[in-house]
Amino acid sequence: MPVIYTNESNPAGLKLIISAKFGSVNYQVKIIESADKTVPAPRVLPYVETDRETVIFSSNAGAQYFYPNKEVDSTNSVQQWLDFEVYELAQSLALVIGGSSKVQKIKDILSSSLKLLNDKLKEGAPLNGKTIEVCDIAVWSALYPLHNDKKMSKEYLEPYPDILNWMTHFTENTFVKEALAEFKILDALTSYQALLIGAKYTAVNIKSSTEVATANPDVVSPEELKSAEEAFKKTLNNLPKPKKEVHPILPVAGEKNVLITSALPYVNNVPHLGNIIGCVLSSDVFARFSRLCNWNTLLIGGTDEYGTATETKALEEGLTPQQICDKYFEIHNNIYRWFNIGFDYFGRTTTPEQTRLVQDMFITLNNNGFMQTQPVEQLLCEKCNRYLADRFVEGGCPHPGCNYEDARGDQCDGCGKLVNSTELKNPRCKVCRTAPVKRTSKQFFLDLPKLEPLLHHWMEKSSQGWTNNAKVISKSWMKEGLKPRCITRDLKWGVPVPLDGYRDKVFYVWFDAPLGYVSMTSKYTKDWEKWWRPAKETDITLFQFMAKDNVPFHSVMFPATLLGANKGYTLVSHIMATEYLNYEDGKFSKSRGVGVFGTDAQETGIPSDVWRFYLLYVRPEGQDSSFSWVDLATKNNSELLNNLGNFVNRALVFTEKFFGSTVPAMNLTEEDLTVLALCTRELKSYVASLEKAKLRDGIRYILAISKHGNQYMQSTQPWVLLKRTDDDKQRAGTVVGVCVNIACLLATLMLPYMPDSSRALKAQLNAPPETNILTPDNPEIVMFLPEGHKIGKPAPLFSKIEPAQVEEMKKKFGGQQSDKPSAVSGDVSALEKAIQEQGDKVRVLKSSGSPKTTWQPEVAILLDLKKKLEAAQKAVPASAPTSVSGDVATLEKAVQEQGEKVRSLKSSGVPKATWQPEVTILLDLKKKLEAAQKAAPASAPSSGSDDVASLEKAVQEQGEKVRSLKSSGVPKATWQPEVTILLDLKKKLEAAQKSTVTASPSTNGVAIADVNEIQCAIDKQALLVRQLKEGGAAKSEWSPQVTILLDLKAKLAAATGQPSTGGKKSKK
Amino acid sequence: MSSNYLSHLNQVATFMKVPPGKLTLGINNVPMHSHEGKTHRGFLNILYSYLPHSTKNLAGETSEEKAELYQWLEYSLIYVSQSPLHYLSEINEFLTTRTYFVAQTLTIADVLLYYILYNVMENLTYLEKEKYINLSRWFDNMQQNPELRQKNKLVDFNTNYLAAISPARH
Repeated sequence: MPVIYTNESNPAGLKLIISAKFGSVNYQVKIIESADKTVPAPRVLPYVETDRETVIFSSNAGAQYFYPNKEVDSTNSVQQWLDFEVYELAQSLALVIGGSSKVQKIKDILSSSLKLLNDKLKEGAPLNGKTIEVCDIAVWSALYPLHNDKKMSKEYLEPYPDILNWMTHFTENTFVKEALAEFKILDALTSYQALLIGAKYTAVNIKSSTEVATANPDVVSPEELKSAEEAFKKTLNNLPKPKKEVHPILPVAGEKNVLITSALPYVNNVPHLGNIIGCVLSSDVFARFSRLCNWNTLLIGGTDEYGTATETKALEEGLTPQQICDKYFEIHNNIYRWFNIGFDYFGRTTTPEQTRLVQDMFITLNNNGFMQTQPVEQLLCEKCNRYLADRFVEGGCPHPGCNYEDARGDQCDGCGKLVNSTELKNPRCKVCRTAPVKRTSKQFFLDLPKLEPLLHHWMEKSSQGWTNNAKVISKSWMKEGLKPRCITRDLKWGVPVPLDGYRDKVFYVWFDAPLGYVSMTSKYTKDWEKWWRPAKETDITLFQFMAKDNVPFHSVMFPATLLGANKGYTLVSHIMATEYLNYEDGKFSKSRGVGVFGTDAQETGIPSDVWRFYLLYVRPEGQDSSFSWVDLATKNNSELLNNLGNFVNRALVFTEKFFGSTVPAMNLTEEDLTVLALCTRELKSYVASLEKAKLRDGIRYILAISKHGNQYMQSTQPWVLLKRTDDDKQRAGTVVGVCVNIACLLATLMLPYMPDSSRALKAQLNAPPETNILTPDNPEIVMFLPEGHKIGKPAPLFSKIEPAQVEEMKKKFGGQQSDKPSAVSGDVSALEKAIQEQGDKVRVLKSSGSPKTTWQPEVAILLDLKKKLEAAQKAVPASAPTSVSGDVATLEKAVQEQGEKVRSLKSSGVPKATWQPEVTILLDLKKKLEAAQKAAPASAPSSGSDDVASLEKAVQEQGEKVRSLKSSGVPKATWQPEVTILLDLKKKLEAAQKSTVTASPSTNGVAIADVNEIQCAIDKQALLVRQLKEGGAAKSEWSPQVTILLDLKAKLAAATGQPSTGGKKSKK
Repeated sequence: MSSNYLSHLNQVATFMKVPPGKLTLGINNVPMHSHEGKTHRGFLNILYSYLPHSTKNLAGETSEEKAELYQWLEYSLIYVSQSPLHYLSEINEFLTTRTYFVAQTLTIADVLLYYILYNVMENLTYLEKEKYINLSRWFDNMQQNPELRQKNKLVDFNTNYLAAISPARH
């Protein structure tokens, strides 16, 4: 006989007893305390122990066990009301009455549950409309203590007459009467306390709806809707006016003043993309954002020009160091100007102001007792007849455990630690490779140990706002203990030391360069001290942008200098350091010609806004990232063109076409408010991340807003509405009006990232300059462009980057290896051997557990060799194409096997370093396969043509799958792989079609001569499609036309041998 | 209440090879489901609406098993999914003598709990995994099924490290 264990007066116990009676089951009731040790896990009451000693601890499970539901209707209403009872009703009753919860959300759930139930009972009982089922018993039992308690019943149930009726009626049931006689239910408070204690509901169970809202991407809370509505009632008049730019920009007491610096690039290196994103571009984006927020913003940058490297370069080119600096300064300046870096002042370190400042600072520090002199051993290269600057000596790393052979004199690339050039093992001059000799001379040292307490105290306070890597690097410096740091050198090209006996020495970059920020500001305005030595009541926030290798300069050296001067200098509060940007998974290298350099970017024909967008999209925040041409094209085509560009263009074109370029009247419904609330949420996140200079995140919020916009437009379909009744037309007007306003918001948010496009879009919108404003304290979407506002002429903002273009760029900037294939081509076997040996070496190193830094260079060599091999192999097949075509099957097999290997490696969770080489092999194989396949189809066209039909079918099916997945609202991560499969299939189909066509041109009726005809037909068809789409035709109408168009394009592609350009070119 | 409900429902449906339908959150944040004109309200209700369409047998055989299944689903919904960390030791204790939650075979309860617990398990330290050894065993068993795992990564239950700390048990 099953036993029901329950505590006293628990309505869930009552539920079980009634259910057992309805199900004609014999049972036994045992009353126990909830604290009883014999209650089995999970220790909730009531529970049922069956004859076979199975424990059922859910009362609804037990109730169904006793009295199963026989008939399942279409909505499964019995199950639905059981869900209702446990999830909404019982929990909220237990918490509100039993637990006296004061949480409004839970109270709301209780009252809305009661209302829901009342509405249902209005239609009549029982709950499934037919017979009394277990759900009726459950709901009734849960409510019985409330109903039975006169006072409580009045308080809670009075507004619900249908519940009251039903409750009373149900009590008349014989089984219920019997049960109530057996099992005593006391007052409501006691009963629900019993329920609460028995079930162990915790208040955690019901979270507030705002938490849900932020967690759930598509649900908007009523509060959010309300504030979106309120916000949209406001206009530009409610927003602060953007400040007029007055030069010079000076801080104002009581306002937010932001001073921004970008690390000073060394003058005679042409900056590559990594340099650009690391400091100058990041600082510019942040400065533009800061100006949008109406903060007083000054952005300072410049070039670092002193040092041996300049001297050497000058000797090489037969110029004076100053001439070299002038020449390269212009290069830098032009590059940054092209990238739209809006420095308020772009200066240089070779100025009289710099000399004065550095010398003053030195004397101040010397007077304050933070300088000391020490004899220093320096390396003199007798062959070159000069002292060797740190960077011009190489040798073995002196740090124990690191056996890196090519450590530089200042830092070891192997272990990352700082090195004293005289400590290098077997030092050699970088220029002539002879061993230098040691000479001793007296130098000045900044006494960092004396400054350490000050620095430590400051860092504790300030480092809250630094990026993580900056914190870590600085902490490790402090942890090792600071040592005096030499700040002078026996060189000529620099700021001379202003003390007798030392006048032939100059200051070293450690001391000299960071002070450049101050001297450049003083060059910008004579009131520079307002920024750098502000009055007490003026607050200056200093943001410094750099790549991580520059962190010690800005977190230790520069602050120590300023603190030691003790003149109230502004100290950095936000060190924003990036990691490194790689080029196509390798390093940028000027000498090898690998990577894109500032000057190259201009020649690509890709607009600077797209460069800015992509560099910020892959900004190495948190970890290294890499630049990839394919990715650049993909992001441009999918995000800028198809997402952002598409949305704003549609919004504008609709306004122009259907509303005479005038923003229509807007009567917002919940749907419109929902999209505004969703966009507001993204806007808030945008502001929050940009305030922390998380620039990479900011860009994603912009794209999220335009995605919301696109979805909104897709679901409301204004072009369809316009063809219907007047009401619908008005509705379409609202949608278009909201979209135009979102477009205006987007234009503002784009300003820091893509200033040109932002300005172009603002011009197309004819938006007043007052729209260029953000309210960081309370970001909201107001009505920027009210009804009746006239917009300008819409035009596409972005254009497509073709795959062919990408390939070309890749080749152009991929390094020099491809220039000399002939030398390599004969060497395939030798290379293979070298690769094998190098591979063994790497494996041994890795398995010996030495740090990554040790084996990384070896891996680089290996990869290099592999690339060479690839190039060599490429050269070979040309002479023997037949051998390749036969290999398709073998290659396919190899690809499959390698794929298996990679998958199993990856899924086994080993670190990336382990499986990466395998992936490289796989990609290699795939490339070979592709090449082989390209050669093969000509010999076997028939099989290709057969495949077209089956592929088409597969594409269609996969397409269906993707569509259904997307529409079901599952997260992107779920459907993304399916999309990849689909794209893959499509590619295959295209290839198959190509091969079919070339194999049998007559059957398709396409000869080469027909190309022009096809092109004509395509143009006509494209026009038709565009007209249909923009005219608001239903998809079913234009879809077949699109198919025809695609067909034509495929034919053209086949005829010309060029890949099809795809359907979505920018809407021109 | 947890917004992950919808994604969990989706994952379960995918595993069962049943169309998940259109899933939204309605009044009181109760999940709503509509598919081919039919609507279902409530998390368990939606789960149960998937069951008959699946070719997999995940529903339990006897009435006792069905009741057990129901209680674990309810338990997952009301307790575990709200704050999974709080229930790990309870679940661990229950699994001391079990391979699956219900009977001797995989049911939808195992499936659902795998998805609910995935994020937590993924972030446990090795020591914590050791602490919840039965749960870890169950979870590791679950994740060997690639259809169940879907896009999730394999959670590592490497015991080498633990063997050094508590050699007696490994």
